Amino acid sequence: MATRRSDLPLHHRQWSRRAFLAAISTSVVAAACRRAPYDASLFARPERSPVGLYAARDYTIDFKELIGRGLEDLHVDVRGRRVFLKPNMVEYESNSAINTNPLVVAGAVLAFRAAGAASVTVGEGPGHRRDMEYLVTETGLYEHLRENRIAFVDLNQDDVAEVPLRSRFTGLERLALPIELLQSDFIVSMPKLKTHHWAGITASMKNLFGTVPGAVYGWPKNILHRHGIDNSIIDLNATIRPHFAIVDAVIAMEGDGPIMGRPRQLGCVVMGSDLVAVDATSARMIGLDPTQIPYLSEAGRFLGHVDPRRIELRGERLARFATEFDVLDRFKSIRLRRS
Amino acid sequence: MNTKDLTNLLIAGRNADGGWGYYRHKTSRLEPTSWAVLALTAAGQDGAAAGAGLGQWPARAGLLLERAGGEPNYGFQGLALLALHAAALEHRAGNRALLDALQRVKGVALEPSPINRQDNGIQGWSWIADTFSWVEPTAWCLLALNTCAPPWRAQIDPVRIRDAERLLVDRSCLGGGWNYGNSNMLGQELAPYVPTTALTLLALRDRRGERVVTEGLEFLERHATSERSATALALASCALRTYGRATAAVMAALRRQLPITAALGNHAAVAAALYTLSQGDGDATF
Repeated sequence: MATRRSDLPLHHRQWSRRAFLAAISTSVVAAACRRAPYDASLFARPERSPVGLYAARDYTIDFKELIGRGLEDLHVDVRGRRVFLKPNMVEYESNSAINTNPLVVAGAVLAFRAAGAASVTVGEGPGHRRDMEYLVTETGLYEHLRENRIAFVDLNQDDVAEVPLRSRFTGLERLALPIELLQSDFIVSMPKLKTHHWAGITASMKNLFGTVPGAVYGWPKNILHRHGIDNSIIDLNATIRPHFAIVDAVIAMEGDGPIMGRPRQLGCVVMGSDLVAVDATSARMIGLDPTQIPYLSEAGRFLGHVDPRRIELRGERLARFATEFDVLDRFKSIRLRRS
Repeated sequence: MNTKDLTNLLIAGRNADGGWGYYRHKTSRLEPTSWAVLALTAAGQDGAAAGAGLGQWPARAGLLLERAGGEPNYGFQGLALLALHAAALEHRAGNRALLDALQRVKGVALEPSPINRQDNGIQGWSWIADTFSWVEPTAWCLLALNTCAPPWRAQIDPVRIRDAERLLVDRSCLGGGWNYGNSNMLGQELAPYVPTTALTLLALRDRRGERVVTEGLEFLERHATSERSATALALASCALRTYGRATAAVMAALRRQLPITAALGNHAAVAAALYTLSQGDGDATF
């Protein structure tokens, strides 16, 4: 990928780890200091956010049952609602851990149907590959779409509507977003848990980059990089306000993610309605300090909870899955210091 | 599933404004409309009828606009010019005006970067204004200039042709072929893809015999059937045919893929398949 140098997020231009972290933190904070980038009254948060951790040793388990259990534990009510599932599909390589596993996606569809959803649609708009037919064929998702008669939408190519942004970290006023996404009333982010060579970690919040339509903004969605990856992650989440997250961390990715990293077995599915809390918990699970990840830290001020005292874990204990992922050198300083 | 079925799918999916959305009942968009005009013309339908909507497509200063909103997409304008040319149609603004506008726009030049090994100063075409040049839009626009410009060849700036070719050569992957953007990033060599390699080979067909073209062609011959999608297989077949290489295996793979293509219902992909399947061995691509 390449973008205009002046458009690059600050961390592309700073190469020492210290400078990189200082710069990227500054980019988010500076946006916050210029003027209030959000109206706090629009973002009521619960006192505590429940996050569910569920063991899934591999992809042979019954994901309909596991996700259904999570929906019950977390008191998710989707009866009569139009559910939209947004998995992460970027690129296909056999034996890699790039994409949300199709078995998890299919399990989620069946679980939401069983929970009374009026409809369940799956959609993605890759910023990397723009050939969606290739991705759904090679990943095997197509077979699940066909067998279970699941509606699928290419978010890069759907009709769009311009919506005002509910926070202004990017400085943008509006973004065109896909109609199918906007017309649903229960949005679920379904990422693969991965390290990310620009953002540190990619999970349910970063996954929303795939909702920005490439047919309007071009590929690889330069508008988001131009205005800063961290800023864009926050604005997208503040605007779309997904209702739920299901993170595929059964086999995650460590090292040079989100594409070139190595698969790493974690055996876990993370779920919750507070995406900030879900991603903060996922970061802790792989040994990264979420307060040192700029977009999570900033989102923790108004979108959700990063503070573990405000996160109520359900299902399995975090310690069961806690480990240390290999990360690029510039992210080693944000490793969690476990007591 | 055969060419008649694909033709019927496209005809049934056409909007009242004469264009095609990416999917049925969606707003007409430039990319699927251009592919549909190319395909229906190749399949023997009346080009003027198929392309009526494209001929009236809204434009501003020679740049075709998206009916769904947003900035003009330069890559899709290149494809639209190829469709108008194939259907022997004249856009209401004049095809020459569309070509001139395409020559005026370019991707931004960047300073050298430590994150990859390439010449960021070369200006090809970006997808939309004020962004960097990428392989796909550059290849579509170069192909359009080379295919549609001959009557106005004297008015074509040779620097745009030269720079587009330089950019595509610069972005070739180590060992052959093209990624959608860069050939390397953060010290990692990036993999070439089938559709971008096929498209770039079509755009560089006047430079056959050069090393990057030969290597790209070798990559494509080895991997043409490895990416299962109508678009990838159709473009691969077009490129191999253009370079006089065997296409039987890739055409067979394309036919096997058609049920999935039809079920997903993307008009651009359906049309790419129809376009390729409708061409005879001796037909010129684009």
